[in-house]
Amino acid sequence: MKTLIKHEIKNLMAFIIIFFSGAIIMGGTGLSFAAHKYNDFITNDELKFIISNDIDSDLLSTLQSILEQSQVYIIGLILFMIYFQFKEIKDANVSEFIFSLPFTAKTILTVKILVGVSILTLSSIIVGIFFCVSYLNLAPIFNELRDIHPLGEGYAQIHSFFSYIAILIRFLLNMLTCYLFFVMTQFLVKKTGPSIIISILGLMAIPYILYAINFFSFSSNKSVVIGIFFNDIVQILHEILYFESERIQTVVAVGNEWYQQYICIYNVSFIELTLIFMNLFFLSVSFYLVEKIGFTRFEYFTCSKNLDIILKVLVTICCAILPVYQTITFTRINFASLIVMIISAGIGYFVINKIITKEIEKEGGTI
Amino acid sequence: MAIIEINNATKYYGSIKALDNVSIKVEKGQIHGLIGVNGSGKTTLIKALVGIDTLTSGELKVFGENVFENPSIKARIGYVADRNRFFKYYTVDKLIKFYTEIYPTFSIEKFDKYNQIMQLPKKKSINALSKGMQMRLSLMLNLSRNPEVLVLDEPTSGLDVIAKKEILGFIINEVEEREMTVLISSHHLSELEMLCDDMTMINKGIVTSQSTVSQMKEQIKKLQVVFKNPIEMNALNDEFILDVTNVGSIYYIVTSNIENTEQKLKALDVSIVEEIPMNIEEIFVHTNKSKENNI
Repeated sequence: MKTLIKHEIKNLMAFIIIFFSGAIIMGGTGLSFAAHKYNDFITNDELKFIISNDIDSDLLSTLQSILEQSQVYIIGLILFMIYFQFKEIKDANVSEFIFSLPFTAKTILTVKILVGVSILTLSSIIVGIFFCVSYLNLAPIFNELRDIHPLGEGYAQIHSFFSYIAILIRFLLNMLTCYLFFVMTQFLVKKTGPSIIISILGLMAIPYILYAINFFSFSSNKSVVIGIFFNDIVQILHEILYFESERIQTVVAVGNEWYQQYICIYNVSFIELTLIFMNLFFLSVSFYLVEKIGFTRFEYFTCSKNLDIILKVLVTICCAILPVYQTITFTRINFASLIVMIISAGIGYFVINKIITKEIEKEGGTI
Repeated sequence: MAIIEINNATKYYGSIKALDNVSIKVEKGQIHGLIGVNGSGKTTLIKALVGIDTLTSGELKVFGENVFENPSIKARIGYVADRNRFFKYYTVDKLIKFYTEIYPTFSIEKFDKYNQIMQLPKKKSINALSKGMQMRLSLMLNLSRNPEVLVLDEPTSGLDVIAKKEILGFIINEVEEREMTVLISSHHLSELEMLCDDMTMINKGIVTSQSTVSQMKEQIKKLQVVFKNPIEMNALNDEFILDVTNVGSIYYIVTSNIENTEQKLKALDVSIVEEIPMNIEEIFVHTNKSKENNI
């Protein structure tokens, strides 16, 4: 296994360099902001900070937004990394050489996941080190300002060193969830590239279909229920990806003056627990499927005949819905739109069926 | 107990039956040849034997154990593929190091001894090696591992005459010194004839013949015949006569039952009957032809 790990690390060396460099840049950005704040405090008088509503929340929210904004780029990198990890074992002829080696498929998968997860974790740790250094250098200033600011007690209670750890934990869990989800989908679809593309399209299809169903519901009750369900999903996704946490309002009276502030609480919560269970679920499915079908023993386009059928049905539905969006944008829905929907569904089914059949025939599988 | 035991191996690729109830036994220290045309199922069988793929039904055991997902058995089997695809960005040196780490029995001294003859540049990237050089590399790596079983799929393809001779010599030495068991498939039947103790002929996934080389040569005979009087070709139609050709008045008859054919020829007033030797290649061609005709 040690040899496999060394090989995997060599395989992903470019990604290790990119991730670690990115982590240093992200951490460095946070650190330079903290240094800027520190210089500001040294060169300016305390009054500016006292009358400002933002004390250490400025630092925490800045670090949080660095993590939020970088997520999109990191997800893209993760997709490329997964493609490189699994291309060798799934698509290329070199897979036969790998399978002839004295390792089980489970061992090979364990090594790949171990290295992938380690890269993400170590990158987060690098970012975390920079963030912690930023906080620790500014901590004496925060304490000083909290002593004299009317809302300082609130900040002292809510914003702590653990708040910084909490946002890093959320960031890491988001990245791990993304990574393990796409690892799992490698065992749902035969080819490496198509599995990534179909997974992304599958995720996009959920709001795509729900919104159209919402629009299509003529009954006001159904529309409200679906609308609420749709909004709930969007809300949850927003909380996960944008690190949204509980906000509390703090109000303090000093003499005749009232001070009010919304303070965000960053903590390990139900969302983190959900993400951990999702990751465990993705891992379980991956290991179950690697035992059942390995990396290349697909008889169908996907891992089972039923999933092939589900894929065809979903593509047909998505194509059928396409004219709805055209109608939403330009006109009301009418009889002509319904005809277009049926034709669009037929074309969609024909195309996906052709793709699946061709792929299966090429590999000598079962239609 | 046979080292390699394949019982009723069947493999389907979708609706295509690649292997149909194939059974083979290979004893320790034997060299067993697997011969068949392209698409006959040799590579499918070999891939199942080295643990790359599974069978649809049947049993395949090496050292009494299943091979698939069995690292301890795989570690004892060497495999030289028909197309050797190693890690592209590795050099020969790095690949040797990789093998050394994975296989504790790997001997660098042995590899260097082989390389003195094969002359492969160690610093070169695998990608930059020709097909023949990659084949030589694969053979040397696998022989240097000291495997107990060596499985080779078309190992001499892409090799020049001298390299072929050297490689086959290496294999024979290993069998003699260590009683290594070998299963080798090839289109070059003349090489197998010299090398193999036993052979299995396979056609469209079905075993058509399985015996020693000498037994195989006893199964089909070729007769050189001259008749006193000219005869019609269809006078020689017979269930045992597999092929008849003539050059002028000399007829060449291939038969699977020499006694029966000689009696028939006497009845046709033959003047000269002479048995001429057949090589494995000719036997293979006629065996496959007769099976196809029976189908």
